[in-house]
Amino acid sequence: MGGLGHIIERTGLATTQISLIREHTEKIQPPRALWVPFDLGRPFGVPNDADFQTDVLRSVLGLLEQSGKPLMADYEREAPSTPDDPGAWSCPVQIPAPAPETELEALTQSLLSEVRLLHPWYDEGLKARGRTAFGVTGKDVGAVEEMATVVTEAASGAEVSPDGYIQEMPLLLKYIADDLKTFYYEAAAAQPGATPTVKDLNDWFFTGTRLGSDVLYQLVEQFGSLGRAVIPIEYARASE
Amino acid sequence: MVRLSSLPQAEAEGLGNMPMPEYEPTSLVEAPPLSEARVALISTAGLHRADDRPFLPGANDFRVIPGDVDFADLHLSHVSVNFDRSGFQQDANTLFPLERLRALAGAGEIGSVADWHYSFMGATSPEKMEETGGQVAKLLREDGVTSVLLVPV
Repeated sequence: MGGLGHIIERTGLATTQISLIREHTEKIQPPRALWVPFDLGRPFGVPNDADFQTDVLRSVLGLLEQSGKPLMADYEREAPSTPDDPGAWSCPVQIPAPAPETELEALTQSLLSEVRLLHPWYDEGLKARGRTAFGVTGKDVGAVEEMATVVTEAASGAEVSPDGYIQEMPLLLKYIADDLKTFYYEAAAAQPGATPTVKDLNDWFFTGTRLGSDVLYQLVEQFGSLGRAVIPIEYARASE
Repeated sequence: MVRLSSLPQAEAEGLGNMPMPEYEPTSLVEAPPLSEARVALISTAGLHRADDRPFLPGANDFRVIPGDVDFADLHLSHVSVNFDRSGFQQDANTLFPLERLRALAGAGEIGSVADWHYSFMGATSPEKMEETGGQVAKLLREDGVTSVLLVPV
């Protein structure tokens, strides 16, 4: 990001930027940067808080009033966290504990049951927001059960060659996993109750769902190269 | 929160060891007062409209995003487990604050919002963006932009 700042400022346009990783910005020294203490992926701090986002925006635009030497400022406020108690959120949809099944058909049915439990909340979230981030594979949410089946078959070692997707196998599996994860996260965030934090959602997905705690790990066993692309390092298991 | 020391060790090492290009200090351009500035956004989140080509890993090309884009049409094809996507899922302003920018223009705090904004793929080496970054700078100038906000993910 900082490199683009140099490239564009040198053409005569004033630039300012958000910095998420302070150490990187200190090395690149872009023209103007506001370091923010937020999670990666959230450069304006928190969703659905216009006042807070606008405060960050004013701060980073305010750097444009400076000229002379490159400058880097710190944004001092932490992102508002809801709930105050980070352990307060839990997914209201109770997903059945995984049964010790190993047959492909049973595994597929188990995952499809999970998807169907979450689907009404995914739909509610879509209605509330009017948008979805699902679709990086080029398919819409009507294909979510097909995707669950594909990823389960692949995780079980079966050869799969699904049609109609933008990406090619095996990289396609990374994108299918991501669309499924989007489906789960949007469904979980739409449910009533406290607003989940990033950690809430990740903990729930990678320890409390069949897809996140089981199928994706099996997928990584089958396709080792997908490991870091599918499972965050903090959820990696010792055997990987 | 995002100092390398706050991340899991392996991720911190990966990010810390990531090669960074060195730049000679760039002299700062004097921008007009914010109340007269025409502001454009540039994201490296791999954002694009639903019917645009998705980004490929390492791509150095860009997509254009119209200033009146409907957020329902915005997709993100920078797929990585290394950053949170749930914020974007809930509210695209979390990483592409176009609605907030429109509000500042409406209130007269900035002069105007550009007709066109731009998105690149994240995690692409900056050296590969010299040419396409220069092209975007020309396009911004044609749009009358005076001030550019760069937003990583």
